[in-house]
Amino acid sequence: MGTIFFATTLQQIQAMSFRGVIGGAILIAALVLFASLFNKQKTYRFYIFMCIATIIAFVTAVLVASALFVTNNIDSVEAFL
Amino acid sequence: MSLEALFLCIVVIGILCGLTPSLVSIFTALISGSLGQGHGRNRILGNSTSFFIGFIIATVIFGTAFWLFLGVLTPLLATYIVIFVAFVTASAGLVEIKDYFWYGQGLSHRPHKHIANRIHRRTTKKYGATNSVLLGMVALGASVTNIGLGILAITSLLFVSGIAEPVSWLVGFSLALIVPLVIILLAVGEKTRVSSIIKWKEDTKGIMRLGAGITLILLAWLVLLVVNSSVAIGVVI
Repeated sequence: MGTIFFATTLQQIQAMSFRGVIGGAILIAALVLFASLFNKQKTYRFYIFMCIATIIAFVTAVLVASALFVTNNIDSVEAFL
Repeated sequence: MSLEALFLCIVVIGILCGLTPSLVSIFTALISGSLGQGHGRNRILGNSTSFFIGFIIATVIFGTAFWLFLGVLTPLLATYIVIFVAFVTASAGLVEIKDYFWYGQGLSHRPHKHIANRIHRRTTKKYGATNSVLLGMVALGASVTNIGLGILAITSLLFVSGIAEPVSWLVGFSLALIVPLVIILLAVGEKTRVSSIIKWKEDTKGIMRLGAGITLILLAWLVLLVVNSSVAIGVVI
């Protein structure tokens, strides 16, 4: 399910659609909330870093997946799945 | 993106990657070692120039070797390696950004103990042009996790852009890497105390890491954008 969600989000972002951006934002927020479980000292810089790190990781993952799609001549997420 | 824009990108990336605490520390240690030996201005200039030559030679050899390695592989495998290099570069950039918030804690860029000992020996016990050249080469080994990855990413960028001759680009990149060190050398020449440069480095090392981290991440993204054909190098729109 995670793969389908990620791949669909990737497809939407590539199409620059509103749904894709919202999907990405929800994914980033979920990951930051998950990471906050490990923030024992409750510092603000942890949240700032986690937001930055999650956005960077998400964009990098999308770009890596997109590069792999192009390299392997996969032109749709459905073909990949 | 035109070739001129790519060259400008590489120069800016080089300057920001070169402004790292490890490289600044090694260079200030070289200068303070020479000053401690009572060397004059010309001798310090000679040692610094030798250091720069050693650093440029090591950078160009490292980048060209990686270029040749990519060249002997099949195009598909080479592209996979380029994607992997971009991923590792982005991850290293994230570690650099982490150092802005928690400097030196947990996973961090530190030179290997063997390299650190070698640098210490070359800055405190050995002096001379040959030693400075070797120190310049070892300095690249000390900062291989940030500058080294930057060189790999730049070489990957040149490779996927279809640029036929990488050496002149790598020389340009390595010249950009030493720009901050040249400025430090000029400051020492203008009677700025080395201790105040070291204090400035200690005060701003977190910001330096942040700048280098953001630069590495943007470089990795640029490589990935070229691989997935979103950006075409050499094409002016």
